Amino acid sequence: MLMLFNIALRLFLRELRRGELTIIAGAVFLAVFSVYTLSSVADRISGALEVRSASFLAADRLLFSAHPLDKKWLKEAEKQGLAHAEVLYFRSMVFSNGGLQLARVKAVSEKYPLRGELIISDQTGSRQANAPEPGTIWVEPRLLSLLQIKLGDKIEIGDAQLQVSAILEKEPDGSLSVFASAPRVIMRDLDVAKTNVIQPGSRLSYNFLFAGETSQLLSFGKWLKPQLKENQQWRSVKDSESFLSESVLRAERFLILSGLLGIVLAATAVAVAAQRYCKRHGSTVAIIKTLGANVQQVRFIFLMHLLFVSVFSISLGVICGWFLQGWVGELIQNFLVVELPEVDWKPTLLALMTGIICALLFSLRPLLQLFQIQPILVLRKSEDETGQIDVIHVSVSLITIFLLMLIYSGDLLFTLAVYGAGLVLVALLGGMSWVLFKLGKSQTFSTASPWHLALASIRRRAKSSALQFISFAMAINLVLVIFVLQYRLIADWQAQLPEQAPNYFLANVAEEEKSSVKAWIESQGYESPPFYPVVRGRLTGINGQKVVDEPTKEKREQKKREGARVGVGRELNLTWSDTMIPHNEVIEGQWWQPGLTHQVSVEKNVAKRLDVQLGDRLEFLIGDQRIEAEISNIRFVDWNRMQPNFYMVLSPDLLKDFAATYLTSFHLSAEKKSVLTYLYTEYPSVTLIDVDQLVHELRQVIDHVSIAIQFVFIIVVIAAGLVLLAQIQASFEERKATLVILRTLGAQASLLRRSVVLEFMLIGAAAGGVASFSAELSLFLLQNFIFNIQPMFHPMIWLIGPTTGMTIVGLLGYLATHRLTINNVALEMRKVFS
Amino acid sequence: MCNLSKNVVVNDETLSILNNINLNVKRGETIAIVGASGSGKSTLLGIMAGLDKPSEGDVKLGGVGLKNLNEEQRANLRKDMIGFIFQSFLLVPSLTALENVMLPAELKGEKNAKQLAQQWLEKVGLANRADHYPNQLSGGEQQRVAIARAFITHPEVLFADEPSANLDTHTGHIIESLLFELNRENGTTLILVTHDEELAEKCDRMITLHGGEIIAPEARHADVV
Repeated sequence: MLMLFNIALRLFLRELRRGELTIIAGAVFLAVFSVYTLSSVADRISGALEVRSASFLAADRLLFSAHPLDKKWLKEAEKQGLAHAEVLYFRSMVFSNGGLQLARVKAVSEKYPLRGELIISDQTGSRQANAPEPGTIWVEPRLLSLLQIKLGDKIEIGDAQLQVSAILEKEPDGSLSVFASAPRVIMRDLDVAKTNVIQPGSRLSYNFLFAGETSQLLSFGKWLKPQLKENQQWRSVKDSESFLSESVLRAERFLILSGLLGIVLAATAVAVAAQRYCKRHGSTVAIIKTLGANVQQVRFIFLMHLLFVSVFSISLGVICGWFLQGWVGELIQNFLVVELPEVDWKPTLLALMTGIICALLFSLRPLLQLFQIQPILVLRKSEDETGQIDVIHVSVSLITIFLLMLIYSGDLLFTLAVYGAGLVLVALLGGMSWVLFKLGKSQTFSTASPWHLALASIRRRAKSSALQFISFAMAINLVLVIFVLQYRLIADWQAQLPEQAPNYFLANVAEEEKSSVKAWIESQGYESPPFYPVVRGRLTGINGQKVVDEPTKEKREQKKREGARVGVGRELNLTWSDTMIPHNEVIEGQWWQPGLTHQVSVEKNVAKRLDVQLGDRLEFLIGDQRIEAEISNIRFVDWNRMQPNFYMVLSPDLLKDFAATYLTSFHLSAEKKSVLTYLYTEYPSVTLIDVDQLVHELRQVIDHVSIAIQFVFIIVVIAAGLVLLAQIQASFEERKATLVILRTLGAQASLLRRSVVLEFMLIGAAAGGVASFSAELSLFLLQNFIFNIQPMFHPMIWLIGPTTGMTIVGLLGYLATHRLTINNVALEMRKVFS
Repeated sequence: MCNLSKNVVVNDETLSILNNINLNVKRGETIAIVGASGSGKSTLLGIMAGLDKPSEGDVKLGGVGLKNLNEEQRANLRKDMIGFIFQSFLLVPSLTALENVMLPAELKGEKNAKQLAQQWLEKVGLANRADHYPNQLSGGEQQRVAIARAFITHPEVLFADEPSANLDTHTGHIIESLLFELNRENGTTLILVTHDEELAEKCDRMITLHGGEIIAPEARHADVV
């Protein structure tokens, strides 16, 4: 046994040194390395992203409730090691010096916020803080001007007198709604009882905040969910329908998808290399068997090889991956000034499993064939099996790839979707390559020019060329898909939040103030923004049937079940326009022709909620007047855009005679912020809503996500490059003998080099062309079904595909050929034919 | 070897490669099998060495019938009794000359495989090329390594398939002399397949194959079957 071990070890070391094992070791290394790097970096980035995004909830998880919680729930959370805080929201009038103002009150417990920053400013300047001291209150700056009070003054909420101890600059879980026009105040939960404003029937909402390790949160969530009542919700930042949750979800999907594609590429490299390795070792096995080795001995030697290769490549992959993720992590950390969580054991486990599965399953079939090699082959010329497709090997490889994808994504449906689409693509590529090579077969070639030699070589190795073609096309296809997707995602986000995205909203601008406010904005050097007229009104009827307008969602749902038509439960901001609102999209019906009367356009979600169709008639009550309008179109509204948006847009004839106020949004750079004082003092009735901080934070999150997906794209490109290299090296061995013979017969080195480069360029260009087609198809499916973004045609990839394919494949082919053509012919002859 | 036949099916057609071969080889005898290309020489060598199975008939090696042995048993028999020299040398390309020579001894479990291999390399005059890989050696040198590898386990029978066909005349003669010299020293039975009449002449006996049949068993110095 020791003797056999020595033979195995010696063969392994020699072959490693001579480069015999380079491809297979490189492929396993690549699989392990890319899985480790992708999963650890993706884990760390999405960990950081979650922490970052969690600040928008002021917690990792939030339990929304319409009533106080059972105390035992909080005890259970503490038992599971979670930190918690409470926030109670209600509206109340605030009094001071005879003035009064409706305010949105937020009563918080001592530990609030659990995530993110609460910034206040007082006489000592700006600082980060937790909850205010009992007896004190923090207020938004505009409340000071509305009530004409200053820091240190007292204000009254119900029966309680609270001292204004600081100005609220930023709250992590601030409202995203620009219509939340009442100013915000933050007080302590302990003072709520003193106010006596909470009465039975008061509209209250409770947010219970929780923070802790993911496992603790998952376990508590599992315990909690079965006990939740109808008016309670357990939410993470991903559950909301906000721009942020969409971004985080899309980014995560992208990272998983890219990881999967990286694994497919690496796995393809292992499968190609394993089969190649075993084919190359057929004669060695025949020699060893001739010398008397039995099957057990051969099996032992080559299984030891596999073990050595696996241990070597997997260890190297994990070590290199660890260094790279550390380096990239530091880079991202420095670049984004964000604390990345430490890498945990999961990527190592995932990489180890990938390495072992790759090494074992991809090598199994070729190895079994290798063990069965008959010793008589030493006397016979082995049949040329080049390009023969081994159905069992391909099947085992396909199953293995599926297994790896499933382990990596942990999501059966997602894996099935991507895998299924991949299989269809491979079938498509197979069909296309068959047609291409069939077309090329009908010609006769001479060896006078590199073109003829290249075409003859493709034709001679039709089957192996087809295999090469499919793998080149797959690799280029995946790179194109990832390239376009990352570009689209980032571009989409940037389009929603451009550098000049509005960061201030002005509401309640009176008709007579409109032109001077507009002029003031223009005087600041900004383009004049559109001013939207707003009339407050209530939906009272649909098709002549009166709607039930219960204030709570639960009651509306109940009435709906009882067969009643329900309304929206509150007053609506109605606007009018003869033209479409920018960045809205009509998805049903058509926008009305100017001059057409009694028309209304409804936002799609509201249309769904109200259960209304095109042609339905809506009745509104504005003041004491009723108006009626017919639904002429349903609109998609991108609520993530920082611009005024409306559920209902009516034709001008219906609203223009009502007294309206105006709403607009505009961009003001940070250094000009001080000019806002003019607005406060000159137009005291105008409500200024500052979303600058929010826009800034959203943009930061997008930066994180963009960096993450660009990094993953680079990894996928490297993986694809290595697959191309592995495939070219493997195919190069096949053509070496022919090239040596041609060289011996006097063919000039330059002719051979040009013919090989041309051959690769032709295959690369054709593969790139086919890849463009399949990438367009994949992108259509992915954008439509996975990423929920508008599919579009990408003319660029039809140019990039073939040119990149031709250049990269041709270049790699040239590098591989260069070695042969400059070497000594006699030595090459000996190498090839010994 | 009695009533030995070998048929193969190619494109649904049965081809007869060897037909009713009867041959007896004595211990220590040297025998040459000659014939034109495609006459079945290499197939006969493969069957005699237990690398291939006959369609009919049997081969007995040292009294053991190969027909009823499975591949494992035949492998053990090759390990214990047989040595090979091939036209294309068939050295393991990733092993050095020394390691190639050691290989059969190690497979047999010889503890001092390395020393034995060194001695055999010295005998074939390649002690100074022990660490060279096959592609760093000339054809003649590679065949000398193959000869050393063939003799290291002291086989009872040595099969040589066109041992000098890939070499120039001068080197071929050197290799042939070395082969016969070592064969004599070790008292090995040598069965060689060759085109080369001159080489065949050096053997005790020459068998001519034509169309898969022995047409001219010719006596030299030993008994004729």
